[in-house]
Amino acid sequence: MTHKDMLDQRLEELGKTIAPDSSFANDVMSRIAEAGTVPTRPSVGRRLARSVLQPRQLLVAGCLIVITVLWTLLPGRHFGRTATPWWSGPSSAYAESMLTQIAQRRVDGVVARVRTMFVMSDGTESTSSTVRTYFFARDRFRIDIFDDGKLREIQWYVPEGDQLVQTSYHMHDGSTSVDRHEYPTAADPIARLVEIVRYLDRANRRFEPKRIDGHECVGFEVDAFDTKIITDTYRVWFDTTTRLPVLVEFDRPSMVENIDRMITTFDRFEWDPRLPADTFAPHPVPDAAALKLE
Amino acid sequence: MTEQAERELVEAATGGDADAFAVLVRRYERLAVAGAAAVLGDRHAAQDVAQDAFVTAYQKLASLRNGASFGAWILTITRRRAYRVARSKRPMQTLDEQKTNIAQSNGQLDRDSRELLQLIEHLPEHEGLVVMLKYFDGHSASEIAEMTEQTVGTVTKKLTRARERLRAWMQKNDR
Repeated sequence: MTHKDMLDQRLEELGKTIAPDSSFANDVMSRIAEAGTVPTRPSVGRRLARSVLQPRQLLVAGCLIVITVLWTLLPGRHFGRTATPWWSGPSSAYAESMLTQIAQRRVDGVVARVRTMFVMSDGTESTSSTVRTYFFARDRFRIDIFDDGKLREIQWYVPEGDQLVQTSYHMHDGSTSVDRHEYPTAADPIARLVEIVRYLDRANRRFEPKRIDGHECVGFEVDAFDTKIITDTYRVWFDTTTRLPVLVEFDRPSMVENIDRMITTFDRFEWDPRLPADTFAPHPVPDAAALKLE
Repeated sequence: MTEQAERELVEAATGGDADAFAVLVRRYERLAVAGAAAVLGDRHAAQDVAQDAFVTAYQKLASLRNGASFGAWILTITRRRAYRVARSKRPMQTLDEQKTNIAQSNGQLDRDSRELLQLIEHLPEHEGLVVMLKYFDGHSASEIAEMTEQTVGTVTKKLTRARERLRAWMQKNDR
């Protein structure tokens, strides 16, 4: 028997071992019938968010944006300076207004710092010494990885056909490795942001405005366990003027002994930074170096 | 069943057609149980979690943007629920309680099964999904291609890569 046959056999046996009871589907349907629930249509805000991601509807969205821009430019209109702050109204309304704001920016690139904090079982917190700088473009991204402030690795993710090619340059020995991933991986910063904003109308907490990195911010906490965002909960703080994110925290439980939760933080956002032309071009040569951010 | 039919099933279920959703449950029940079992290591607990996940999925079905990605979606919901359950049980149970639960449950997976499931969990998500659809749900490569909106060649490549990774990891574990 070949290795392939052996593995196939083990996988098929495993499939039989974990096969659910024959009544599984009936039990599910009984529970649904007992609960008397029906699928709930998403709110207007969420449907709008979806439409932003649908290429066929981009034209319609574009028209709406143009109308919104013209409306804000009309004499006497001061968008964002109304007596009632934008975040205090109905949640679907502020989600909609933020999506419009995001679409208006037409951002081609975003830079962010990413760190992970561990909340230990005894309640103490520990922040990883590894810091990543993400450079997002529409269809590609780059990650510079630092350990204790020292550049350890640069990763470039560039599309090639229906795949995403990851080229990694390892500083310690000058070696390069290449791996291929299925595309799409959510690289588009706007798609990522829209994904975060589209669930805001289910926010279970709203934080009082506070100052973060010099920005006056308002924050929301969203339960995201049944969404496509890979986390249990996320918290996001937006600049009250630009309505763009200043801080995003993805909070999820840990299965590692003695660690209760892991919180991945995106901050120090730069929207539309002027990046060198070769930022996203893999150049695994000895002079590869982290980009210096202004 | 074609990919279009899959999308239609989701659409029909969203409109309140419970029979259409029952077809989806039967199609993906093994996938969901496998996802939960990899986390919980117990077949019975995994079934409970997978059932919860399907009930939640039904309620939230209208939020699924692409009907053809129902499989990946239900797997994500199930895994998250499983992690929650695992996480909530861990600190509350003493070792004796855990042993008692295992004995009562009698659904505990053996070490090899659990290890293999965990290796599948460590595959890139798109590879893990095709492995589970093929081996646990018994779909052919062409059916998986239709369901996941990929070419048969891409699915075959993913299966090949996934097998290579699994074999390499298993050899490393056996050392």
